Amino acid sequence: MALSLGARKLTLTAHVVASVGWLGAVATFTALSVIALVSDDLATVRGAYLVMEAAGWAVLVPLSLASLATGVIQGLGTKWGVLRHYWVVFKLVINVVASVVLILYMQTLSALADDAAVATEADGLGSPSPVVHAAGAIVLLLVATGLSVYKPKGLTARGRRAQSTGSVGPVSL
Amino acid sequence: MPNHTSSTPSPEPGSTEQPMPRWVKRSIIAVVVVVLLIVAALLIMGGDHGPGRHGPGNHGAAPAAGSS
Repeated sequence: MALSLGARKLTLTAHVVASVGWLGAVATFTALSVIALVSDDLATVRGAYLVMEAAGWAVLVPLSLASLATGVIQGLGTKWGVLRHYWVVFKLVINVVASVVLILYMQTLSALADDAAVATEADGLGSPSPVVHAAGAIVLLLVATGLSVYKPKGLTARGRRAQSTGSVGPVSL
Repeated sequence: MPNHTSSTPSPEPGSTEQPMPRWVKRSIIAVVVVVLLIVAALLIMGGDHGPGRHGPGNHGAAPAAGSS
């Protein structure tokens, strides 16, 4: 299924926006999680965790799924493929792992927000867990961004078979 | 007979057998090491991982209504 030039540009734009937006949102999350961890002010810690939970469902999860969906569409609709180039496979794995961990981790964020909502003191309320998870997500998403830019060479077995039929990228937009 | 275990980066013309790129091998090794480190860290922490450890009442939470 080959996408038209216009459709390729549209889905590529959507993929870049979703992926880079996800990275920016995670950076904000990292800052909020650090603030919640080090602050002694109950209102600050409570506000940080409540915002993180709400923004997680409203921003992080949608952006992660949008990045995954548009990435798969890009792969299926162009000669890059989804499983033909190692860098695309790596990006797919990163995206799936990060999305699954994020969705599972939303339970922890919800628990932290519930805890913060009823807490009477900030002491012990901050948790290093969101900092660790957000930092890990930043590393993964930076690697994915780098792979998209550098596109290191290397065909998978599937890619080599496709190459023999002349249906392997790169694709110029 | 072609030597499939050769580390020569450029395969024979027309051959579909190519060695896995070095960056892929290194990346896989790095991922395995990181995963093992994470698993070791979780084991050292006693497997206390997940939302269950963030139960209400653990951080100075107000007592539930009706409780003494």
